[in-house]
Amino acid sequence: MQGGSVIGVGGSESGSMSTVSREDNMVMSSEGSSCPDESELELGLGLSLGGGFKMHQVSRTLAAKNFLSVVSPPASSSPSPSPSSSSSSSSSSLSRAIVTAGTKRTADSMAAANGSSQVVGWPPIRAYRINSMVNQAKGLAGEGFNSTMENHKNETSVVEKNTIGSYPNNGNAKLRKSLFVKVNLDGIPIGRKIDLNGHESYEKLAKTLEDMFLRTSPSVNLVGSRALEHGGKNEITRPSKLLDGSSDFVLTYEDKDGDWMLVGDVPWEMFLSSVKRLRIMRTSEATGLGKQIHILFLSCLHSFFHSYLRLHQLVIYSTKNTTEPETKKQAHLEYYSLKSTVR
Amino acid sequence: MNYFPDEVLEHVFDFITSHKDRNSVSLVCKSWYKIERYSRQSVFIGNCYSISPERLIARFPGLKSLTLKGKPHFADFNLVPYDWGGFVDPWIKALAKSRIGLEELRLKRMVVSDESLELLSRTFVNFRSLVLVSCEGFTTDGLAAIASNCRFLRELDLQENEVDDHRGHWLSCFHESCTSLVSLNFACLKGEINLGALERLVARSPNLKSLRLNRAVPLDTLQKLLMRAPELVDLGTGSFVHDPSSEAYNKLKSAIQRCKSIRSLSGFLEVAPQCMSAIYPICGNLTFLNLSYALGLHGNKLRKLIQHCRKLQRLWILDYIGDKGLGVVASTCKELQELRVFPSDPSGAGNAAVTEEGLVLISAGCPKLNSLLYFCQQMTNAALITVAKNCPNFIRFRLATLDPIKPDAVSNQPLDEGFGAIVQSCKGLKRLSLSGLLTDQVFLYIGMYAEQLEMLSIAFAGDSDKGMLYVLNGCKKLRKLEIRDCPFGNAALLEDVGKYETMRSLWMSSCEVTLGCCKILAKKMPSLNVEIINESEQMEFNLDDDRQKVDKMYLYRTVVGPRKDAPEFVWIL
Repeated sequence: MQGGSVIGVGGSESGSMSTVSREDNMVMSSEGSSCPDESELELGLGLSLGGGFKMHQVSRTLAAKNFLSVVSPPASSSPSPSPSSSSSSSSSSLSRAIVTAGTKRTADSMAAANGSSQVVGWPPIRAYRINSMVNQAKGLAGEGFNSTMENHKNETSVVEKNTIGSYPNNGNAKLRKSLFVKVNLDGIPIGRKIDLNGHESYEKLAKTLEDMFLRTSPSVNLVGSRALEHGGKNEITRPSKLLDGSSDFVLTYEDKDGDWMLVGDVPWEMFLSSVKRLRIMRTSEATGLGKQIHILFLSCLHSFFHSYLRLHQLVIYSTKNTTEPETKKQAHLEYYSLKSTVR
Repeated sequence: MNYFPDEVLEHVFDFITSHKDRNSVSLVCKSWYKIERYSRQSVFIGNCYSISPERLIARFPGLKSLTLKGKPHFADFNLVPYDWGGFVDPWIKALAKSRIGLEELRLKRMVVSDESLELLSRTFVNFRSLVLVSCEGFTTDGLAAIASNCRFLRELDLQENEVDDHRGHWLSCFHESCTSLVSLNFACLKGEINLGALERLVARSPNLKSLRLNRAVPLDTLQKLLMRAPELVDLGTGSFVHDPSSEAYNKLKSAIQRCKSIRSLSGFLEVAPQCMSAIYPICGNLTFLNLSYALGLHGNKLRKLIQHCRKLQRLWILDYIGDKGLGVVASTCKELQELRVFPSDPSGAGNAAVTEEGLVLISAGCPKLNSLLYFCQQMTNAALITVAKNCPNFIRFRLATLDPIKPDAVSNQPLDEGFGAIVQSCKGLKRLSLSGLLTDQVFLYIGMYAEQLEMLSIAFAGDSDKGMLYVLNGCKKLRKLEIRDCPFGNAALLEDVGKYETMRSLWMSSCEVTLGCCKILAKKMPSLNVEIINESEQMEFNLDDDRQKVDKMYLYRTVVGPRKDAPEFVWIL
């Protein structure tokens, strides 16, 4: 085989082709790697936490206090790298890691940092995906800060607002014929029937149901004191306890597909079209139907050599918690780190 | 050595399609080099700064398809400043000047301008396929140019790009005579779309197999599109929200039922759970399902949907699915090869997250699993060991605990043993990403066992230089190594400088490496570009003070020396 020496023949460009080709091949040797053609979320590493030089932290995000704090300033700012730290709390182990992870230089900047700073750039999610989810969540929940108590109302109306173009607004509900569905209250063998079309909203419906079930039977002590105070009059303005989760009971419905869902998730019209029957369930039994509201704060605070950018975004979206623990409604304030550089 | 005429050899080479193999072929002898070079049509360049367009053009005059990658991987997570580089303009200009008849261009993490898209569209008459992944710098005007001028366009695939959307009219720019579209993906565009133009385009594209819509395309348009293109194989819905009792929704249901060829389903950029039953009829045929943007879909509805998808091979999902839902996946999707579970709530405040239990269930139910991306609340060594035993076929294994240094949730130990089990069991592992509390020990395992490993991502791990050295010494096939916030320093970096020539690139940020060390490295290895990225605002980075720690270092092999387009904050040593 002629031209055998293909390895490491040094020389000028015009010389050995094998050098050139080898060099060229080196840069072109790798296939598309083990990554599929699909756009992929590549796991990688984000911004360094407090990396950089003495007085300066390249970037960090602030998190709200009740955010799951990953980092707290190291109690002992003396960096003592002990390989198998048996620290039980993740936050102190993170601070240990940070201390040992070569951020001795940033130990003071760490101390200077807020008590609860999230690690920037972690989890490693493509910025595109983060932005996309944020925008979507914003659309889902609408602008503004909603407390959990008012969440239903707002969420419903906002979703309606969003989807108003997407599905035909059947216009005036007034002229609809009646839509009677059965309603059962847990513990009461005899159910009632209710005309959903006689109600225009979740609030109205809940009011009716409360009047029907939760006031007339004295043995059932559920509704909070507020309802008793108001003596069962129609109080349209105050949020229904059945809907907001503050009573011992939760309003659920069975839809066309046979699934039991929490009332209030979808726009009223959509609910009407899929509901088969209602059930007022005890809160303690309503596992898997609970609702949790997440409030995401997106905030980005970082400094760059040439530019300084700060972003705040507030996002609300709701998720259904399908895991075992009792249903609770909680508002979580979280910061979601988002960094974009602008020069 | 040629017993055959050139034409015969060329014909033989036609059967060799993998880049690696063709490169090997070219090294055999001069005449093979020549034959290979003239017959090569497709070239892959993993780092656009490793070679120049001129050299590419000189060597491969028959080039038809070019793949280029620009920014380092961490640009995905905003680690790399905006204008670090990765510009495609010089490439397109050079190609335009040459006699190359470019037909396909695939770019990843590059900066693309409208001007270059325009130049591309005007120059190459037979241009067929444009795939842009995670790119930026262009607007819908550039797309309009492509649409107008590329008369034989087959593929326009935009994946997760940041596009400045000037709204609307680019779709109308497709000529009436353009009937060649096979694949159209504009899911990443944020703006309004001319729905009428879209419908007409689909109507005159009989070969259309893949269509991915953006959020602005409502469900009733989807129905009309499906009526026109029942042969679709890959569908990405736009907005999937409608009133289930409406006429339009019923029409959609019947339209979907006709689409018996759909194997891949994605989108759901906006979703109403009540509408999902419309897709049940096609779920049984699906091999790829991407619900990772479907924020509104969870609980029963989600699980029920999964239960219809018995043939699934790839599933991308949000962690709403929960461990229980993963159990449903495990019992339903026996053909599953790839699973990606994304966090719905990246802060990990403990709600809709998955844990090690879900992963164990999956591994038990899906023995064919070979690719994993798993964002989880917690992990244990025991779980990883079980997973390693159940699924020895992993090629890609990427795990991200939401807290980056979380130890074993049960024993509080580092996760060294768990990952060690993975690398030991999965002999074909090519890509690995680690997270959780990790010591040097895990790197010892990786160096010992991960013989096929090509790409490794490390964060907040290790105790000393030994960790990095284990990897550099042990993983012979390593091509890309990316490290952040680890205590690896000069000694590790300088131990074996020749190693970096065998790799595509090395990224180290927030480690213990000093400027002086980088200078030494750059001096020893002229075939590497050693880039220092410094973004510090307050302190001037003093190029003379060798003791300074370097915040971000990116080095890569190259045959064309330091690049000329580096911005101010990048120093090439």
